[in-house]
Amino acid sequence: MEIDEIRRIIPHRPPLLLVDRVHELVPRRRLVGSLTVTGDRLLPAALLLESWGQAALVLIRHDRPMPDVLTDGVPVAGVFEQIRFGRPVRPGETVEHRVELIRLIADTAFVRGESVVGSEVVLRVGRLVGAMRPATSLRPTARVRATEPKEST
Amino acid sequence: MVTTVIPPECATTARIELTAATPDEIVARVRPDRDDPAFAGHYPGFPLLPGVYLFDYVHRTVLAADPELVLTELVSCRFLRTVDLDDELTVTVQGTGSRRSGTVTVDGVPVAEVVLHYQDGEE
Repeated sequence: MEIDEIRRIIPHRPPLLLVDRVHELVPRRRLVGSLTVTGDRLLPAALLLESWGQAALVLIRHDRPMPDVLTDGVPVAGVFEQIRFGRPVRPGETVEHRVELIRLIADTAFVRGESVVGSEVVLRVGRLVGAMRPATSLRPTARVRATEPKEST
Repeated sequence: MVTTVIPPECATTARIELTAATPDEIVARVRPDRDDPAFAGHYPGFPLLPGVYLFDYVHRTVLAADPELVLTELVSCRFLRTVDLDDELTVTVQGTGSRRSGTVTVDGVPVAEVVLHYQDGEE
């Protein structure tokens, strides 16, 4: 699966679309995906985890695509546990994400896995719990502002 | 103290302003950087702070007080509500040594609880 098909499944877009390719996908069981790091910076730990999470979202939603959060819902993280970081991923390197679906209950998914560069483990994910929320249920402050009457001058 | 240098291992460009730092507790004020280009892709027409940014803000708060620390594990992170880009966040980190516990609040309401582990001196 290449980038165009990934864009049809998840709502993330550049510069925060952090999965380039899916190499293996066993529905409702596991996925192997990857990202090649461009630019001249190390891949920060938070973005390595975000990239792994996007690969997990492809596994969870490949059969129910959600390219637009306004109509399809917003993926939100609930819990991260036992996330262990190895050495940083460098520019030019390809990091391979391995995701295993532990359980899927309605729109709440439990996943785990790891990321490797070559034979080196750079990330271990003990457990990530994520869910979907309607866009209308989020950003309460923005919604309040949108409905407030404007002050007259 | 305001941190303007972004550690290379960090993802975010927000301004981290330390408002208190004692041996046992660090407190910082954080405003998301609305000019961060990442928000254009997260998500188009619906900019939302990525959850991993909250983890990064806590990590950066720790590094602002102790820049030599090396992160080894995000022990746990619990997200309690989403954050608007206009929110001002308060990050409070407690603990010493290799284990730090952080709470992120908006107007006193917790939005995330984060526990981090750093490399021990012996590691």
